[in-house]
Amino acid sequence: MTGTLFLQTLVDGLILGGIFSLSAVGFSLIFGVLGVVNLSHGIFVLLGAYLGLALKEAWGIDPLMAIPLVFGALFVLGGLVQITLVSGAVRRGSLMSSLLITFGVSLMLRDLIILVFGPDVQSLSSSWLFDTFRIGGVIVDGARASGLIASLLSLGLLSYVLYRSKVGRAMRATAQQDFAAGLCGIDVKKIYAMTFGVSAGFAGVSGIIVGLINPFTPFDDTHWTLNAFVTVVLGGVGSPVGALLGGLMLGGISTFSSQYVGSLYPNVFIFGALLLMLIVRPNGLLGNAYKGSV
Amino acid sequence: MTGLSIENIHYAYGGARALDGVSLNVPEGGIIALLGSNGAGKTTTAKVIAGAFAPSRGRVVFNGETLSGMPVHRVMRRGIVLVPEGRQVFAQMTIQENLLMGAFKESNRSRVAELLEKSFETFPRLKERRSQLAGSLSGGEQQMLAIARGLMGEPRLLVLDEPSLGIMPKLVEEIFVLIERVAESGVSILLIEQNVRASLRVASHAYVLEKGRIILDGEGDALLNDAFVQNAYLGVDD
Ligand SMILES: Nc1ncnc2c1ncn2[C@@H]1O[C@H](COP(=O)(O)OP(=O)(O)O)[C@@H](O)[C@H]1O
Ligand SMILES: [Mg+2]
Repeated sequence: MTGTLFLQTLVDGLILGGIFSLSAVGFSLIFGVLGVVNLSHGIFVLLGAYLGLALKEAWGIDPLMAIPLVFGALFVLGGLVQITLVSGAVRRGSLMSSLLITFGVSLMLRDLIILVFGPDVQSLSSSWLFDTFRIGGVIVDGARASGLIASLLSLGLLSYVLYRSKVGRAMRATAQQDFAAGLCGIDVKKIYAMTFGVSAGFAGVSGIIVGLINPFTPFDDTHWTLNAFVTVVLGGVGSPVGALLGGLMLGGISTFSSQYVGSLYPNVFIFGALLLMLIVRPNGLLGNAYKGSV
Repeated sequence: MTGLSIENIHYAYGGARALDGVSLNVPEGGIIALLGSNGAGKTTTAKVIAGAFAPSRGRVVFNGETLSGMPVHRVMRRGIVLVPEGRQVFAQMTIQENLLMGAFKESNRSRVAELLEKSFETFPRLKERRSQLAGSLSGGEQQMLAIARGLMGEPRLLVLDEPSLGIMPKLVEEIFVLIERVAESGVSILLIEQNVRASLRVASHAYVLEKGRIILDGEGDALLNDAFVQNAYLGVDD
């Protein structure tokens, strides 16, 4: 019996971790390539959920089917936000200006969400998502299972793009030496815009998965920004694998501490792990995939 | 007029003047040297040529076209490739990936493969270690990689900013031999150096920069025998 409980907690942690990973990977990418701590990250997660909601209510599109549309829409929006607003902070190269600008972006977009959808709790769930199945003694429902699969597929796709495609190589090169990247003929500003677009797109996809599993409000963005931050500190900056490891750690810590200690305490353990990590491996488990760790 | 000409360039960092009316020409073919001690303004000149800085006065003209004001990646696509000071290889990418980045503007895959093959012929040591991370190379090898990466962009003019800086004497010799070979293959070279003696041996013409101004210019051999140059840059006893 306790063995089953352990297994169930492990599977829940894995699923939650997959979602944390996907929701954090864009934050990690923007920090790695642009050097910007993107405080608007969480709002792009939420925008994904709300866009999924709009598509479902307007045209009855299933949220999972809406993933490519949401990715596309947020890619464009993210790129525009980078070109019009954040680029100033990248050029000035100051952490403070990037914090202020992205915080401002998150406030604006949150107000926009409230204006369109209202401040109340919403949800993306469909009936089939509650169908559960058992493997051994472990229970998984459709929402969580599809969430985990979508997360892993998205992370795999991003890895492929970063390490096997020309534009992905250009992103990594820009992250490592932006001046030299320009000297190679890369339009660095375009790469910045694409990076922001890709990050916003993946944040939006994770938002759909979040919405399938949990209800959401326009005020959840700080929670997702913070989760992304913690995930990146745990796993390391700039690589999908780092985000995956960090997300799994975060998911595991959350579920195990709620299961075995009490549901009020996961934050204590999460920030405990964060502190420990900052002391033991300040560059995260994998270090910085771009700049190399010490 | 073919080749590069810089006309009366001024540039300041905030209030600090770095270039104060620099003019020089790099005609097509051959090696031109730009010499000067630390802080003279050599790297600033290189960055103005590459498009990283827009000059406050003056202009950069390449094969009749004004380049000043163009962003870095456009200047590169016009045929001027800068191999920057400090090498700036992509340390967390493999040697082969670094070379592929150099050919970023080339969209024809078979042409890229050809360029890579050619590069490995010129730099056999890079071929052996193609799948190693560039960060694992020694300083001299990184310099070779930076030059090889630059050549992957098929430049008409290669600007080298202090390629011998911080590199073992044996490799420095190798780098200067390489520079001559590149020039023989038809690529013009602007060689920016503090290593005055070695540069004057390979350059057909040289400019000496001091505090943001060209204070002297002439043929390589002539400068090598010039009393002022011998005193100021080569050491009197030679
Ligand atoms: N980023 C910068 N900000 C302010 N001053 C700079 C900067 N880079 C160079 N300088 C100053 O400009 C002058 C020329 O520098 P530089 O072009 O790097 O010289 P060199 O390459 O010949 O050593 C120096 O006085 C240097 O201190
Ligand atoms: Mg210099």
